[in-house]
Amino acid sequence: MSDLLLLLPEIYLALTLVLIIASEVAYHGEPVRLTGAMALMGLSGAFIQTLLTFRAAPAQLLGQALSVDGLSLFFKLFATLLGALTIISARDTREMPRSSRPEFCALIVGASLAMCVASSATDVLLAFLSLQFLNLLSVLLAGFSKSSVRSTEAAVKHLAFSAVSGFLFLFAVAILFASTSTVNILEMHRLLTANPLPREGALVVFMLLLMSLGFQMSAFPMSLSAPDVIEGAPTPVSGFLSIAPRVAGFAVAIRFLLVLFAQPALSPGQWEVLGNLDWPRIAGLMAGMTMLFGSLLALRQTGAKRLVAYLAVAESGFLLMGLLVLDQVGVGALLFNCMVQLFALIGAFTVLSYIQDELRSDRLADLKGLHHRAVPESIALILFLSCLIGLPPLPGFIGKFALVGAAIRHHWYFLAGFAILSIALATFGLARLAYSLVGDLRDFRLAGPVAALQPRRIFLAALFVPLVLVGIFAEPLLAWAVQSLRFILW
Amino acid sequence: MDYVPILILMALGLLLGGTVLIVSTLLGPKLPNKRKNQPFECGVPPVGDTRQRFSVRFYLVAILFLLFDVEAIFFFPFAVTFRKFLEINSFIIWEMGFFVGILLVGYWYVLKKGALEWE
Repeated sequence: MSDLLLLLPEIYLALTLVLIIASEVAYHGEPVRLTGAMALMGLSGAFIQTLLTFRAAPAQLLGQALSVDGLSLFFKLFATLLGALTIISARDTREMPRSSRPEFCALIVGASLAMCVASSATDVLLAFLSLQFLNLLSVLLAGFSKSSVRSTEAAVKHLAFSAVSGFLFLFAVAILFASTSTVNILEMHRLLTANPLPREGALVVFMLLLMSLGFQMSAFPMSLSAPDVIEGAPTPVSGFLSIAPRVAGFAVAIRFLLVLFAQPALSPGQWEVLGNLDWPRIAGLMAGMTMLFGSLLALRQTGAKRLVAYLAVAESGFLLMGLLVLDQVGVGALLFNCMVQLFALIGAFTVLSYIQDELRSDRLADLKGLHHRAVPESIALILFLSCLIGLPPLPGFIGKFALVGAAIRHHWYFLAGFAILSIALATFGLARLAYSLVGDLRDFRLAGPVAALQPRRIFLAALFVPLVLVGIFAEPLLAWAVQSLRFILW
Repeated sequence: MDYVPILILMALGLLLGGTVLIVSTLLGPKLPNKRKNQPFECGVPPVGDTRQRFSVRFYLVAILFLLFDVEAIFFFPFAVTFRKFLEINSFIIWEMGFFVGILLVGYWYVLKKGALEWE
């Protein structure tokens, strides 16, 4: 019974999901249905409940299948906040019909639930199920706009890649189960410390797991579909999809890679590689390629959504760099960057959703001169993206500094060099977008101002508040993120 | 080693079936005729093109069948072992009731949304 008390956030989310579906069906066709409000209440209830659970952590629940500790509570807060912000930002969109808003809210709440469970899973099967749950809901969300061919294409691509990723994950799990006869990763850690896998076996398992989680995290070879999915989906959903699968992937990756392939090192707060496979090098290769892939290809894009999608994929490379340095400061920087990205990407995609609704297109050529016609939105877009990339006065810079600093401290000079190069390239990508927004200054034929919605503007302004707060309180937040990593319960 | 008879049975089955088909193709008479080549429609002469659009209801019903059939499959292990679990306590009945309850919510949603309407 006390297990269930610790699971209250998930229970709240599940009940909200059922209530939304029930309300949609029972009150189908009513003019006023408070589905969005109900979803927001459920999500904020789960958020508050997660805050209350901090006192009781760490604990292992349900026969050690779920672990409620600082890491999972961080990601639960993240998931509920992400769900709430997505539902608010999707309020006035024209890409998704109003009549299917209850289903949209239900899918978002379900995806938040999946993220919450994925971040607490210490059982390989539960991790697999929750990741596939999230992927399926992402497929449905990506294909939500039935009249758009790109939306359907995005959904099919996401489905195909997530099926492959699930298969690879299960294969890795099967080999691990065959070697250790247990499905709990903490038990596996104990058994693998005693007799580690032979190098080739460990390499196979690691590559399978890394490729599978690589799809989830949008890391290089498996990130090829991510920009298409993010671009094709309806824009508020793009905001959600550019964060949720990636962060869930990182939640599972932090737990799995650090428990299965690493052990605490002699110096406090650091890990060292378990067994005789030097996996950080492989992960470093992937991280470097992801950063370059994202930022180089962002330079060639002619559509704003796709450009932001590639920048988001490049972000994953940075986050992966924070994970592979095997230092709790690096992983804490990863968590800090997740926080910054949450507000930056949701803000950027809210502005893009506004642009898509008003101008009916997100091509850079069509954005010419938007800066003069919709001043607050353009400035907000540029600020959010600069924060994402990591330009100095904004909180994103603190996050990037912490990540690159962690890499340099552990002698990953090449990777840090790639990171800095990719920040520079991403800045050029942002400059292209800003250039389109400003338009050709010699062209004096300015069209009239574009209509704007007050609630959306208020929401954008409100998103800046947590962003600035995250920047001001960066030190305590980084310390809290590092603190929440004391989850290794062996 | 215990399973070799199954292998032999499979091989013989393939051999026999294959032989009958191949021999009848090689040795049988081939006298095609316009009426013999028409698609079989239970004796009624076929009308129109076979490639017509058909309604999405069929797909919906098939997918819903698939989902509830998977639920039925989950019933089988439960049905086989639940007597043993009942000797401990009645938790397993509540557990299965919860599972069925979740699927009933889904079924009610499908019903009310009209996915099972045939017209």
